[in-house]
Amino acid sequence: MASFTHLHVTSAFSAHHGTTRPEALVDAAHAAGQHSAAITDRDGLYGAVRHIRACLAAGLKPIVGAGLQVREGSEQSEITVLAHGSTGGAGWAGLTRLISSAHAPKRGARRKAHGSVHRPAWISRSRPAVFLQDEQGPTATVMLGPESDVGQAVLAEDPGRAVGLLEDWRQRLPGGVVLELVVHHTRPGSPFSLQHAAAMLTLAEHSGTPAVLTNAVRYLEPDDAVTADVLDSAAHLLPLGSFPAQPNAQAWLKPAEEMHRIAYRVADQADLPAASAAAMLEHTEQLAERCQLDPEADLQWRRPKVPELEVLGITGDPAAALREQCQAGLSLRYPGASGDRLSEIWDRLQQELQIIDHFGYNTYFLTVADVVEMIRSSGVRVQARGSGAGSLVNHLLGISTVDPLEHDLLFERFLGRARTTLPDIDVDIESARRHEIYQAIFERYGHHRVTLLSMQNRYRARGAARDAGLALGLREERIDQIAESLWRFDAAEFRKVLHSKPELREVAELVDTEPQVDLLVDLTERLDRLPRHISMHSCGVILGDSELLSLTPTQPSGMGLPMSQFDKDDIDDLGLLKLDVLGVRMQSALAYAVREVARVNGPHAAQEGGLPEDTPYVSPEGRIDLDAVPTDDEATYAAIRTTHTLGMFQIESPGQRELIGKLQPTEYSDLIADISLFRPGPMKANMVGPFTERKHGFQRVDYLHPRFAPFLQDSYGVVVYHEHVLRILSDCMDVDLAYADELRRRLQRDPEEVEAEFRRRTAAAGRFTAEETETIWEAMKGFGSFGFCKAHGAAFALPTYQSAWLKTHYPVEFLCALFEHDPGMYPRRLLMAEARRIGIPLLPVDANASGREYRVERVSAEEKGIRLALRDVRGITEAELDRIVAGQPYSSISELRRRAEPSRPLLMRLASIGALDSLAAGQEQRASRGGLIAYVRQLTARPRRPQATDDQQQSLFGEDLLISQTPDPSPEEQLEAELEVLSSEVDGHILDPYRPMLEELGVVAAEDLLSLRNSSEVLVAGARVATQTPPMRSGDRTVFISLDDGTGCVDTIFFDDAQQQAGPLLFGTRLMIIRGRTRRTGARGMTIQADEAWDLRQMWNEWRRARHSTSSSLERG
Amino acid sequence: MSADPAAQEEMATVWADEAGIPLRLVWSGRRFTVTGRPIQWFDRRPWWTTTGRAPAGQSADVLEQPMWQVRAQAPDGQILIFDLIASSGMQWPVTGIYD
Repeated sequence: MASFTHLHVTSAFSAHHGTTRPEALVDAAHAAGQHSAAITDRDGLYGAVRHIRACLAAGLKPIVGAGLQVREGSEQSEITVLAHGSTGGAGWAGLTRLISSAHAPKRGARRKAHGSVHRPAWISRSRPAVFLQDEQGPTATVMLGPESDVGQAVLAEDPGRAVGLLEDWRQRLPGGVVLELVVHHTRPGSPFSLQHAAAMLTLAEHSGTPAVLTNAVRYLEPDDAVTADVLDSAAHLLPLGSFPAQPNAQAWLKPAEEMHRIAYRVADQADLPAASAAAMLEHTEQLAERCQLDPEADLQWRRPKVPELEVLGITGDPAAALREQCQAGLSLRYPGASGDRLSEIWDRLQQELQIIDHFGYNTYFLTVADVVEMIRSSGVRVQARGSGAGSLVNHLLGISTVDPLEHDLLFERFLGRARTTLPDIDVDIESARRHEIYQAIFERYGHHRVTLLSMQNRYRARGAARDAGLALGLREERIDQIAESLWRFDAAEFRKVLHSKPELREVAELVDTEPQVDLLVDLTERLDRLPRHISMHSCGVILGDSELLSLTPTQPSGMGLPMSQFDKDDIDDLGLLKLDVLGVRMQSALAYAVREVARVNGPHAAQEGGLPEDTPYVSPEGRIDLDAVPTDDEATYAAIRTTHTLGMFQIESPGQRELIGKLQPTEYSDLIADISLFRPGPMKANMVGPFTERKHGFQRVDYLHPRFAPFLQDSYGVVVYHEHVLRILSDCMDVDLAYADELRRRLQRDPEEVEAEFRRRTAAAGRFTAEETETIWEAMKGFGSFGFCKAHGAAFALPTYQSAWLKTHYPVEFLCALFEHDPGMYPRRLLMAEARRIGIPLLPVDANASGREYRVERVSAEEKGIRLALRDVRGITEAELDRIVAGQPYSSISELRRRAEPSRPLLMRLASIGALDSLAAGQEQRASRGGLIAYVRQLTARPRRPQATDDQQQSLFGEDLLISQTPDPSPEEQLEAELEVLSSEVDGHILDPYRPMLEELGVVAAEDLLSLRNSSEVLVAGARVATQTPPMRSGDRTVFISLDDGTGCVDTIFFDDAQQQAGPLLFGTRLMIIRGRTRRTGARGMTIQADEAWDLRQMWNEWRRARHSTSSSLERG
Repeated sequence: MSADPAAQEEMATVWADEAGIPLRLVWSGRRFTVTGRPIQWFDRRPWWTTTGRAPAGQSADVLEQPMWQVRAQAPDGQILIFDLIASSGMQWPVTGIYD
């Protein structure tokens, strides 16, 4: 079999260019019997780690390189660089640093044009020589292909220039330059044509430069070229046909035989002997061999890399340092522990420290503790997430607030024995301050040891349909219509679901009637899950040793800090420490609420919250230590049970509210269970039913076996958590918990194998009868992938509880914080409706009283309200905001205008929402809103005059106008103004104009629903604020739609029949009327099971027409 | 290389061998014999305007247009270069003529 290694291959990780995943390309090389496979993505190593992983799995040697743009003056060209292997990492390091250099911001940078076709990264001709060689010679090879400067000169038939350029390259990088021949059989005489390659071969012969053959691969097979066309369209942001497309479909991974034929064809075309072709192929394989990486030697594959100890300020033994810090934490976390309790804690600590030491992770834990301490001492809220909450060491180091002993969590679930790379610790911090924290981490550890972690988006159905529509040049309205009915399915399934999903009915019709839409479906399917654009979002930091930047290329992140090109799936194999430092808006909201409580209430804070005066977790100044609030506050659980959970972290969605309604939590472990159960697995496996039945006493609490009773208390005997499974397996099979965790993981992949081992070992251990073993195994098998890690749940439940506690005791301050940081799933306008429901006054935007942020303001001795913020006025600039706030207070409108210099539209907007009302007060007659608006209009229409006379003249003029007869805007106009300016209504509600119709129809308000009997027919209406398709027991898709009608939130549920009826309304319509039946979901829960849905506005139009014709016929009659 | 506008005619009658490689042709009423080695190349089609479907895995031929570029000599000695769209049958569209 012929051998040929493709050295120039771009994968789907080349933005909007490659069509095929690295794994698929490696598979193809493997299937073709090749020994190595290369990846050379554009501008980076985005797909490289996956590529290496795939090669290792297939037994192929990995080759890695990158395609880079070269700019010299106004000239632009391309090169491909391949790292040499087995160089102790020098090849990889050179390539990495060259790539980082290409992305680094440069002097005189051009403005970035739109579309990913304009690649912002580039290098000058001098750079490769700087990075790609050392004393021993080149550490990488530069391939000069058809699009290189040499290639372009050859094409232009300028041999003198070509020779000169080539000489320059070879001088700069001796031994590291080859000519790359590519034949895409394009029009003779054009780039990538046979003639072009022949001329390059001639140049190679005359200059004595080695020539290699590649196929500049973009896709796996010719069919993929269609996908490539669509990607090119997305890259240009232009429809197909309006930009220069690829010349043909030849850039695929051609078989070795074909590549050999091409080699001989080129030699023939160049009038060179066959030996030239053989040499070309020989050189190609030689280069391949030179570039084969040894992941161990070149990358220290999977070996952990952490910051050096000195950076952490630790001298001496890290194990001792870790022990010391834990001991210090012990007296903090468990003050007064003694006797048995203390022994228990101590034993557990010793166990964990031993395992940590065994794995060599002491420095890792010390590093994470260091980071968390740094964050905390900056006054920023920080909380660990995930299975790390199960570690006592984490708790003692202050990384996790959750007490693992209190909740019976297991260390082995976090760190078992199978680990070879670093465990994952994720922390949530205040979103609003995350930039500050990232910056601090960079400074503390040094910029050469830290990068940000990136994340990549992939095409989902909606985005794929949009780009397909763009490619075909469809009208925007058509594209919108199609894209907006697509809800949560894989793009690849489009045609399959076209006739099964009711909301796609109209689209299905279009497919039959408009040929372009038929084609759109095909194109959308092709884009499924391809990396959409390498849009880098930061979601964490990578910490490494001082060689980090030789391992990962970086590029700017938009945050002023460099970001790694590797994503979270790559970090493990590289052995790097990833710290997910996620900015979570809820944490910001909690911090803000705490600050507002202190600011507004001061020493009376405890009292205001209904707490005893000497409450230990409220300081004398009014500052609440939220993490110290005991988790057994009955008032909080009562509030949760009402299912008015808007604003409560994790439990505010309609699906969750239904679950809370059933579950009726009374303690913290119920919250943990709720969060753990609200997932597809448990819902389907019917864990919720038994849980709630037993909790409420309708079913006897039963244990799988009495031996398990001690650790199944937290779930009324239902097996819910991974930790339960670990304990059960460990007890049955007489294995340790670490091994049990391994079994648990394998249970998902290979249940039969685990079953065999389970039966064997359990029989050997002899603790259970055959019958009992059978029952236990059935439960374990059914468990499958359904369980949830309790540590995760415990960590999540904390902000749930804290937000609920704040909402219960300090609703005004808490809702204010929600307005400010907008953390949940609902729009601000619904939160405002919630404030109204609770009875919290919303104080309108006021030019004197409002600040930049939302703030609590005391209305009277007994009442506090929330003052809306200036910053939410549409179109207000940062500068205007600063000026207005800096100049407060103002005594008149003209003074505001003079000192703060707001733009005319801004001043008009402020007037229209009443922000200037207080400035005009103090006249004898009350200023009317209409008059005010007219006044402002006049004021700002006048040309500017010298300051001294301004005020005088304007106030003369102004008085008249203010007292004038200018009519006030109607309530509808008022509402519209508010909506337009603030995107929420303060005084009325978006439904108000339709009330006459709603009343006539007998629509029931949200706040009145609970008084209805179960299963009564009802009409409800409102503006859609949330749509959810949560996991349900049956497995069929169920759609929850929540409506806001101004009195509260109505949760409606659409089963299959109703979905059929609703069709396109299901995901697209904003204002709806729904007919259905009430459905009680527990003591305080009420959902409407929908039968029929209508577009409210359409119905309104029809209703008005009917009334109009009735009344006119009445008149006539 | 320039096109000859006056003699522009869209089709040629082509005789090809078993491999589909042109041997001789008649164009604009004149005979030409193919000399040298014809170059096979691939042009592209605006498939989005011509095809109704392009399902993944089945659309390999909607995009490309196989071509032959041949150098051919007339009895009177004139040499022209033709770009021909490879076709079954004997009528091949001519998309370019150069001298």
